[in-house]
Amino acid sequence: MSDVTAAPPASSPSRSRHSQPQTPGAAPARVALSRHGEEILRAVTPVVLGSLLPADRAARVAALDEGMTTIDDYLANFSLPLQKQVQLVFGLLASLPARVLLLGTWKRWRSAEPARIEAFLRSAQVSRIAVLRRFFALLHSLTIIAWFDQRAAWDQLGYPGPPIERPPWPEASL
Amino acid sequence: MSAHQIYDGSTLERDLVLEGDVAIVGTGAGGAITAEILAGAGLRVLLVEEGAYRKPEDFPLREVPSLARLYREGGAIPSRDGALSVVQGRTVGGSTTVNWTSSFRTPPPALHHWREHHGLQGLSPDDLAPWFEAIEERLHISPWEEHNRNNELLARGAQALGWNYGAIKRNVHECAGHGFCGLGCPVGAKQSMDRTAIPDALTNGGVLVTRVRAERLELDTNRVVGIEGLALDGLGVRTTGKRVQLRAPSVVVAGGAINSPALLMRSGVPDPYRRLGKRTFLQTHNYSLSFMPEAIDPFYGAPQSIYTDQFTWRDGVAGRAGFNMEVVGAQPVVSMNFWRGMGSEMTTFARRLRHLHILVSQIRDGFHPDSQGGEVKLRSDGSAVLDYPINDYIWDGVRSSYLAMAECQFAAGAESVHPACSDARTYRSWPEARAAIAALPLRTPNVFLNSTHPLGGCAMGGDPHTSVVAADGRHHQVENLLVIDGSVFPTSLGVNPCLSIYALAARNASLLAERIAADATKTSQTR
Repeated sequence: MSDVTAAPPASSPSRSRHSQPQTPGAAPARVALSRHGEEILRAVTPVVLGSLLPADRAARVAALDEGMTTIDDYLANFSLPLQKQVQLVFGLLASLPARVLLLGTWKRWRSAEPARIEAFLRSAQVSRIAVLRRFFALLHSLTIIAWFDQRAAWDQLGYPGPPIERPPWPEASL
Repeated sequence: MSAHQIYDGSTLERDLVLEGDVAIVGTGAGGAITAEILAGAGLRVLLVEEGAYRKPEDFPLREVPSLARLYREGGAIPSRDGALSVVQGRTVGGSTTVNWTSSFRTPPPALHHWREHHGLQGLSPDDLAPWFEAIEERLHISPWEEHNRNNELLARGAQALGWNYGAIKRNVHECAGHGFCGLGCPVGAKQSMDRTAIPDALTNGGVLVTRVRAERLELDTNRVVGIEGLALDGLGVRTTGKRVQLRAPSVVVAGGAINSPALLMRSGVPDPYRRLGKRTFLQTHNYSLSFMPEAIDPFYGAPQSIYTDQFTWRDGVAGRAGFNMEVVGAQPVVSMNFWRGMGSEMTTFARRLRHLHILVSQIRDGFHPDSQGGEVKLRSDGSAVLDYPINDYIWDGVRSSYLAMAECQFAAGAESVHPACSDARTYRSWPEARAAIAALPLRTPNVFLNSTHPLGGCAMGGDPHTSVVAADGRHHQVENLLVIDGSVFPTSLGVNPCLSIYALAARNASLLAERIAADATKTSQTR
């Protein structure tokens, strides 16, 4: 969870509640967001958000890092049956048959061309197959969650933020 | 004033057994008002709540972590086929801690319908008036007049079209109008249950157990003897292995729609006519997005303070699907989630968020033969899931409310209107919108549908063959079991439900207190 008193993520990458400093390049520990889920969302988020994501590479990575930490915290509060359902969807989408069928490529999501991902998202959104429309809604919704709670996003929106500054959630407050 | 007795399930080091006069599952609108009244009558009340007890100073006003912690499933409990989602609080105070304070008395057409079709006596508008008055005084419920721009626009549209509209009553005291009701009131102005009835019940000797999930009711022949709970970890997700037992001669289930019927099902409570979980209603919400020429900053100010009921009962109570209309006043994540654009469209849309005006319609269900609602079922692991089919009756309500919302937004001066539907486009004029919406294909989940008002599933009624509890909340088959929450309504309401739940809870808890006192007098002269 990001610290609301922190500077924008460009200059100060957020600390997850797993607060050990991360080795550069090492994957942060996740509670509920699966490896497949993170790979897919990191690929989908820039396609959905377009030029809203920072153009600067370091700022973009920091925004995606914060977004994935936000999603992990969000999913970690789901009931276990729902967490499992979400993980099953990501596992399915990451499978080779799904990539070939939906993205038209053997490549992993992380290596797939953004144009292929965009084509998949646009066709899934209006597909005759209801489950694809639902997958689209899930991916889109998590992208919204990843980005629009970040201070860097608020500047683009003209949202000045909460009227009262508060620290983040105490995890185990009574 | 005694110190409040509160146990946090996540920190329990051993199993806990508590004994009292009345044990209550849930601390939302139904459970909390019940607890306050019974504790005030001198009874020892035990409350079990799955969520945590948060204080106003805890609320960080950040959307995602707050949705994650204060709501079930992040504020979007999926229905069985994923066609829509249900929004329910999961915290001390239940949904009252995160609702937008919109308080309406139960509409008379609904009450009359209940008498005629569900055999409910004693619930006429006149019968309930004293209970509404008592709750309105208790929770400072009064009309809100400091409308933000967002709400003024609904009034402007309704006025231009000659619709009936008015100011919404809100349960707030010294409200600063921050507009963050949905993330927990940061200044404690909202008169939600965590700030009012729960502390009052605790002051009168009540005991609260948080972060404990009521797993089942213990039954002994035809009586409930207690509640079995499982302690949860700090996130409220995993069980810790510690158990909690609440034992009392009277048990009140107030877990809300979906969870109350599910608890009764899991417990094997007699259900000879297969009524449990049936007739679960959603007054399904659908949404219309529009851009206004001026910035309206919908993030701030009382989220909802104007309503129109022009269409709620238009075709008669048992006619076509009626709907009310209110605005959505929310922060960026919630607002942006109604829009499913991508890439450059997303950029254009997001940069105009300060101009975004969102209307919501709630399509009342349960009054028409083609509107029997959904059904709560248990998964193999015992958790609850709602199966809610969207049929032509609901789709008709969706289309007619899309039309009405678009007309209202254009009448209020909108530059463009876009129904919250992946298959819709942006319309520049009312004639264009009218033609396009009339031909719009309606399918899930492309039509954004959800519900913050799940109701029913333990329907009250005069006939045990068609209902679960009586008008006083007493279970038809299990004598010392009551259900007092939104799950007892035999239909939806056509308005935001909190005041209906508070008032019915006040009535039925008072009746319970009288019965307990009468029984005690019978068995002992010392009371």
